[in-house]
Amino acid sequence: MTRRKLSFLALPILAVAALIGATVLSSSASSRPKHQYAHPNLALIRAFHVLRRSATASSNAEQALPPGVFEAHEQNGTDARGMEPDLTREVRVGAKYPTWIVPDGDQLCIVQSGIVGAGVDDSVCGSAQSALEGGLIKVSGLQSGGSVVTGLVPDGNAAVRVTEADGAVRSVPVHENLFEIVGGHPASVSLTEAGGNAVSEEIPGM
Amino acid sequence: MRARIRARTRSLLPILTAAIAMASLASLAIPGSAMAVNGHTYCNQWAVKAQTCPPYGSSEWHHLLENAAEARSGSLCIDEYLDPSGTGSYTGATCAGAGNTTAQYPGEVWGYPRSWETAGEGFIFAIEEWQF
Repeated sequence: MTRRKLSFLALPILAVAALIGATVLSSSASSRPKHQYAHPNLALIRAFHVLRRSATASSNAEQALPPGVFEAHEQNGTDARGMEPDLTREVRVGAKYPTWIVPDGDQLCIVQSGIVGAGVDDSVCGSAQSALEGGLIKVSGLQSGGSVVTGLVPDGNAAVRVTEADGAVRSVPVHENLFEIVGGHPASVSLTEAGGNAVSEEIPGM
Repeated sequence: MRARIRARTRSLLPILTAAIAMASLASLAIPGSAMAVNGHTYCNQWAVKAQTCPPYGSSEWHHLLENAAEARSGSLCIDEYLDPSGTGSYTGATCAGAGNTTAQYPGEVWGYPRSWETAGEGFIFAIEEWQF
């Protein structure tokens, strides 16, 4: 009788203990770190194949980021602190200026070296939404005059249509989700945004 | 007497705990400013064409230059003077559309990062405390 009573009492206790154990196990499983190359923004992964390919083959931040950006990245409280070297992709969009696509939290940045000055890196960062809409466009004025326009476009754009200030239209190829326009006076660029709609983006500063 | 003080302290404990909790909540409720985004900044203010930062002048800031000639509506272009001795030259401009942020990283020439963000009619610039 006493044993039966004890077993009746023990059953709920064991059930509660099992429940607590299961909760603890599931919470520890969900707090496990994600895969190191998992991008926080799934929409960006889906829209830009350049973000789906392997990251720049480098073992540390110094090799992954351009030198000026790396120096800033290493300092607390700087704008570049949040840039993620592990997710950075170096892209060869044109032959002359090294280019990187650098995730920074829920932003994407385009970084280039040597356009605005020797040994100077410059960047433009924008929200994921801006990138998905084709609005992440960087304009860098060359010291010698003229400019380099670089923009990020979603998958499905093999080329973009560029309208010059005088109304002339030309096609510019896209490499790894990036287009680059060197020289001229481009006023706007037409592309297909991630939602599949044709859009025209004004080029800032031009 | 000691017992009385202890009793009074005990009765005050819930009030003290509540006060601490309220203070913590109040500090969380303070909205974050742009400074929090950029960390410690020398200055973070609205600027207009030809204005320098900080307002009362400092040799550390004179090289900032808004390139108004290159900017069109809704965008911002910035040049920088790379050499504080005056023998250097301005960089080419970096431009961004509304809502996007521009930055230049000169490395060891002028070793601190800067960023600008377009915002309405003017722009906010943040100079981050870091210099070789």
